[in-house]
Amino acid sequence: MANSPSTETTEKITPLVRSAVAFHESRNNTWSAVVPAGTTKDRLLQSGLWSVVSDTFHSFDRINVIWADRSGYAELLVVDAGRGFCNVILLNYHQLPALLVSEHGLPPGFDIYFDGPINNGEGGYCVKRIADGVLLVRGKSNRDEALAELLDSATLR
Amino acid sequence: MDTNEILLAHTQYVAKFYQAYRGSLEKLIELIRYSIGEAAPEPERVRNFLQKESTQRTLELMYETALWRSSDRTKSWRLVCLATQTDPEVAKRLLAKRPPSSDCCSFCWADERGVLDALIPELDIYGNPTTVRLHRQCSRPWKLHRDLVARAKTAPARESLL
Repeated sequence: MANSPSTETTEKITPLVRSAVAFHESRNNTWSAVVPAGTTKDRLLQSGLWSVVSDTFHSFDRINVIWADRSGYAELLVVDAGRGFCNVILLNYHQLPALLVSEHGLPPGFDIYFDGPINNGEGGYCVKRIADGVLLVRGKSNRDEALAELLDSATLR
Repeated sequence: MDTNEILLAHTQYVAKFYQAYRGSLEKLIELIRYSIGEAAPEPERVRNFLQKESTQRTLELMYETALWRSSDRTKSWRLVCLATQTDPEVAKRLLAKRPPSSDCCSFCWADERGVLDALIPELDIYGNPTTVRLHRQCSRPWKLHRDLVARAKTAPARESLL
C-alpha cells in the first residue's frame, strides 16, 4: 500500500513556508568569469585566483567560468566567500571541442587543399598523404567534411 | 551530377576565385556560367538558382560561401568566400588588419556606408563591443580565426608520427 496515507511515518513532515522559496535571482547571483587560457581545473578551486573579486560573492552563488581561448566551460558553486578568500566546488566542467578548421584537427603528415570546383566527385577539398601523395579524400564541399572523412577512414584507426 | 550540384560547386569556385564579389546579378551569372564552360545552363536557370533562399542557405552551410542581396542603394549582390585560414600566424595578421573605414566589414572589406544594420559589432569574450564590425555572414569565419589565434598560443607542439 505505497500510495495510501501513510500510517507508519514516524517523522512528521513540516512543509516549507512561503518565505522559504524565492526566485533564485533575488537571493543569489550567477557570475560569469573569464580565466586566462591554460588555467587548470585545480587552480579554479584555489582561493588565490578569486582573492581580489571574492568579496562580491555570497554563499550559493554560481560562477560560470569561461576560458579566454574558449577551450572550456566550468560551473562553480560558492560555498563560502569573503575578503580575500573563497571556497568553491566544481559542479561541472566541459571541454569545448577543438576546431576542425584549424590544424588541430589535421593529423600530422597530411595536407588539405582546395582543388577547383567539384566535378563528378573530383576537385573540391582534397586530403593528401604527404609521404606518398595518395589522395585519401576528394570532392568534399567544405573543409570540415573533408577532415571528418579523413578522421573516419580506416588508415587512422 | 545534377545541375544544382554543378551550380553550387561553381558558385563556390567563383567565390574562392574573387574572395569578395560585389556587383550586379547579371555579372555574377556571367561569371558562374563562364566557370562552368560549354555545359552551362541558361542564364535564366542560373538566375532562378541564385535567387532561391534554399540555395543561399546551402551555400553558407555546406560550401563555405555566402551569397546575399544587400540593401544598399544599388541593391548589389554579394558573394563572399568564407573559407578560413589554417595557419595561426596568417589568421593573426588578418585579424590585426583594419579596413580603411569603420563602415567596412572587417572580413570582406565591403563598404556599407549609409546602410542601416548591415554590419553587426563584434563582441569579445567579455561581452564588450570591439572596433570590428562585420556582416552577419562574415562573423563565423572571423570568430574561427579568433579561436585559432587564441588556441595557437596554448596548444602544445605536436610531434610527427612519421
